[in-house]
Amino acid sequence: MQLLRRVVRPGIFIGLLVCDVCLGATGIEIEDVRGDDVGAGGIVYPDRDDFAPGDLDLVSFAAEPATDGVWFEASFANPIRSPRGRVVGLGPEPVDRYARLGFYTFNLDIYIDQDGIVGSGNTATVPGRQAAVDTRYAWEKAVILTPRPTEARTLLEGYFERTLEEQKRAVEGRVSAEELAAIRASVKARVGDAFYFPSDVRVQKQTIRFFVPASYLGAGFNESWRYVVLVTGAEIEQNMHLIGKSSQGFTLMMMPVSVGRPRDRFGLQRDADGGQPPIVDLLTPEPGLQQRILSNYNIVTGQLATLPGVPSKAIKPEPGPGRTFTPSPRESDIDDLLNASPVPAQQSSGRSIAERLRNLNQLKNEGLVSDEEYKQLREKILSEI
Amino acid sequence: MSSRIRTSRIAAAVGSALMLPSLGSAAEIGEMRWSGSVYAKFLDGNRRLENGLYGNSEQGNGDQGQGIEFELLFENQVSKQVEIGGRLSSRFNKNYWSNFGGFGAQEEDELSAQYMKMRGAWARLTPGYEWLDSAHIGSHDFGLFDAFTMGKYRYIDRDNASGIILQGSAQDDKLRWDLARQSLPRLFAGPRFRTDNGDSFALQAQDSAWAGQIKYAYTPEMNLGVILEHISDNEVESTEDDTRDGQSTSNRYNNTVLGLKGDYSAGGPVDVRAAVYRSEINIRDNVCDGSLNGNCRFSPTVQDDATDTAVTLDLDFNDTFAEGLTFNVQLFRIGADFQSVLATRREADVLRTEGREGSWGWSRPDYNFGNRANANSQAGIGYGGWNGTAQQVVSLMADNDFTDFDETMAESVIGWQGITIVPKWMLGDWEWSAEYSYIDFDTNWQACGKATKAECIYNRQDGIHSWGLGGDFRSPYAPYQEKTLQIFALHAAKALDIGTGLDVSARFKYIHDEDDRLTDNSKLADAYDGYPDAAFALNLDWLALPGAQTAVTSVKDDDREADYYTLGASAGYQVTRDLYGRVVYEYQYVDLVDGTTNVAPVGMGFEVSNDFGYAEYLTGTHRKHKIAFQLSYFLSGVEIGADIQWLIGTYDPEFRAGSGQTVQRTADGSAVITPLGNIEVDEVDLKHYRMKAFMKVKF
Repeated sequence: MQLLRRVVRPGIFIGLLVCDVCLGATGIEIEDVRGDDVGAGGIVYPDRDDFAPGDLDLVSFAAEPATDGVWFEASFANPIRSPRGRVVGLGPEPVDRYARLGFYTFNLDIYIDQDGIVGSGNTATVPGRQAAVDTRYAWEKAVILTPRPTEARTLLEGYFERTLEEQKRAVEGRVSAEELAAIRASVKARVGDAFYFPSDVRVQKQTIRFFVPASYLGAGFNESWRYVVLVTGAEIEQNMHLIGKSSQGFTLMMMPVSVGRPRDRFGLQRDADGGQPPIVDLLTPEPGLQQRILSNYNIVTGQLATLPGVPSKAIKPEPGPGRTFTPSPRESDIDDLLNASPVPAQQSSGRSIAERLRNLNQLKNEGLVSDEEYKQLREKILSEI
Repeated sequence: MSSRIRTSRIAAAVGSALMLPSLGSAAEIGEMRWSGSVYAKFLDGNRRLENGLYGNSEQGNGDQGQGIEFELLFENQVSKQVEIGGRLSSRFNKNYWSNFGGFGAQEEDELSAQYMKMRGAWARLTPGYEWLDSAHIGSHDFGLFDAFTMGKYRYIDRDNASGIILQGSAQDDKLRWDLARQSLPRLFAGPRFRTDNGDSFALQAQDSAWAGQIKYAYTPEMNLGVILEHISDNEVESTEDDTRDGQSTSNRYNNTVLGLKGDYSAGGPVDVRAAVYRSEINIRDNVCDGSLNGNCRFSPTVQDDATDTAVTLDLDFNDTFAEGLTFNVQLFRIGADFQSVLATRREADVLRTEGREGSWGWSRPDYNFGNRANANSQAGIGYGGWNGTAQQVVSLMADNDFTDFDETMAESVIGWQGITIVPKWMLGDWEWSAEYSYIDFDTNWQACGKATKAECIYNRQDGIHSWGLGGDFRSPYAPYQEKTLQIFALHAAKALDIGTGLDVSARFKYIHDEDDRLTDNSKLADAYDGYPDAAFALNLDWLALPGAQTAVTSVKDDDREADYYTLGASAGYQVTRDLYGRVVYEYQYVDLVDGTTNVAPVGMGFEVSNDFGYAEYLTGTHRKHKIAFQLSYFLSGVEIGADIQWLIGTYDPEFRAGSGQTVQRTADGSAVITPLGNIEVDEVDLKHYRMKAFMKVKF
């Protein structure tokens, strides 16, 4: 990128000072630690000939404003693998028939905190990432770079539609065609507002550039934006046993992780915990921070790994109504992060709300729970919607 | 409740759904996980061949019919340390849904029978030892090694091979090692495409390939690797037929490949990758008879002991000369005697060059005869060839069987040596890339470097020459060769800001291919000996000509030279959320001179006959237009696609007489007499239509 950059290097947060000198500069570049494509520390690459350590190792992330949007750029340790000449898993069709943008092995999520207001925005990541964005960096816009953007958006909308339909049916017992249409329209609008799936993509060697229009970002590029950037393995075929067929198990075109060294998923090193998020790399300039962040989860309490934005010292939020904000030193940020409050736990059984309600009804009919217990449990289940 | 209120409440619910993160659920111990797929394929074409729902050189190419495959996979995390899995699968059959579920006589044919078969089963152990990460026992694609040694498999499926794989790591995963024993596939993995001699001393169970590799990440920027593979094919010792005191074994052949690899990439101006492999093959003396068209003519190995080296060196220059301009330079040499029996046979690209055009791949023998009754003429992929360019493999059994025309063909590059330069740059919003390759051949020799062609130890397989139009993709050897190959390519692509974005691309390619073949006057008699091996099949009209009219008397008379031009353009558009369409146009032009009318491949045997359809007269100009419509339809849970192509072209034959000779026509003057048949002088029109559509669901 032909930019006058402010550069955040591992362990040295000099960006703000440089940028203060360079007001009006045309972008930002943040370097990531090399060789940290191991997620929480235990992830190993799929046992395939088209994956090798370094492939998903993010080494830098950059944003460059353009007249009508922003060019983002991510560089990896290894050259980005081309789909040309590869063949899909089922049938002999070429991979580039599906992945037409010149890459196929990874997804790159960018969650942009535009307003800098603590708690303002979303903290969720797209389904399957098993992590949440730190509330201090709650995002307004999410850019999901994926090999099949149109299909990913369709799948994400379908996931939300199914979830909302199930929830509505669980509460009201039925969903009318009119209500279903309203759900669809609302999901389409909300997904369009919150997520962007780039299709203007350029791949060159280790670097991938992609364009996000101002019409989506809603504002011109601002150097105070902070980013949560993460890399996951891409599952470009609709491998339903990998990406899940129910709303509870759904992952957005992403390879999960599992024990051992499987071929169709990322594996885990010996004694690595199987509950860790499938995030292979997270943009964190500080060596060692990524592993601490991604290891800070609890599958019993439902606490997700909580992802901080970068650059951390660029936090200059405008206090929102009734809010105050005091930028904290970096170490405080880390401590706060590592002690982040758990988010509400997912249904541990992995069953849908409707299934749980039906099960509860059955228990009541069989006299296994009292009316009072029934009422309490029903309220508890519904409170999770 | 008004719909507006309802909508706003739903919008709030969507917002809360976005806020709801979820934790994935790991497989529970003992839980049986089922998955599978349904894959339907539909073929149509005007060749009207019903040989199967794919191309196959032995069973023939099919361009008609419909079929559906079903696959069922299971996995079970038996314990924390043990996982098992397996796969049951049906195959496309030649019933084309026309047997109405019944049991007609055609189902006695294994390619027509509708059956489910266990295609693979495995167990994976992760015992938790410090020295061992996992042990895999059972079927696998063996894709963890590399394309020069033990390559990834795709035969009918991708997990046809079976064996044991041990994997470990050390130094915080900086060092990783793999050790595997693969049972040798008796279907093809040895001289004569077999792993025994077909006698009572055959022994398969001990035939194995061992491979071990160590990968070491010296720094995040530098990786080093070493790989060693040893294949051993043993039989019962023929002198010992008494089992009471046990029987010893003797080695039929063995093949060893040692490789060293390294790469350095620090994001600086130059990245470097290098690999060197050394192979050795030893074949027992009585396995091959050593003759040019003898019992090892069809073989994935040479006929005798051989040793050679393969080397690749890649230099990637990043923004060295200008911002946004990158250069990849690859230097390579694949020795003529480099032998790696289990090297990848397809779906790999060991060289940087985009290679030849798949469009001219093995479309025999439509130009001269197009004889439907000829089984071998149906074996080729057809006039359209394969889509795209060729992939390069270092196997003598480059494999394009069971392929569809929308795949990429593979060709053997044994003997290739040269340089490839690939620049990439941006010009405005256009992405550009180019290629220049100059390739000389380590297989350039006269009489295979011996006194006569009869001493050649090189297999010939189906092909009688190995390159380009009319050639074969797995035959790098010919007794007399002096070849060079140059490839120029230019590509441009851009997403136009029209509607949802119009993806346009264009390309130009020029290939210059030449072969002086015989360069030594003293070997004229050895090379052009009247084709005694083909005496039973030679064109009788040609045999009846006076000897002075059939002789090849100058080393200039057999030169082959071809210029290939390709112009292509495509436009793709996301028509709806669910449907992506692409239209492709290609124009192919070939100007080819292949010796005189008297030149037929040196050492030609049975293939000369039209009954076999292996050889064609191809001198002249070839023009081909291709128009293709490609559709991709997506719904949650299903993928549907189609590739519909029209191929319209001409072959305008030209005829040259040899030195001091004249072109000899048939009595009616309509054809020219050649060893390969009487070739009509009129231009030949070729018109093909073909279609493939598929539907796949992975559940």
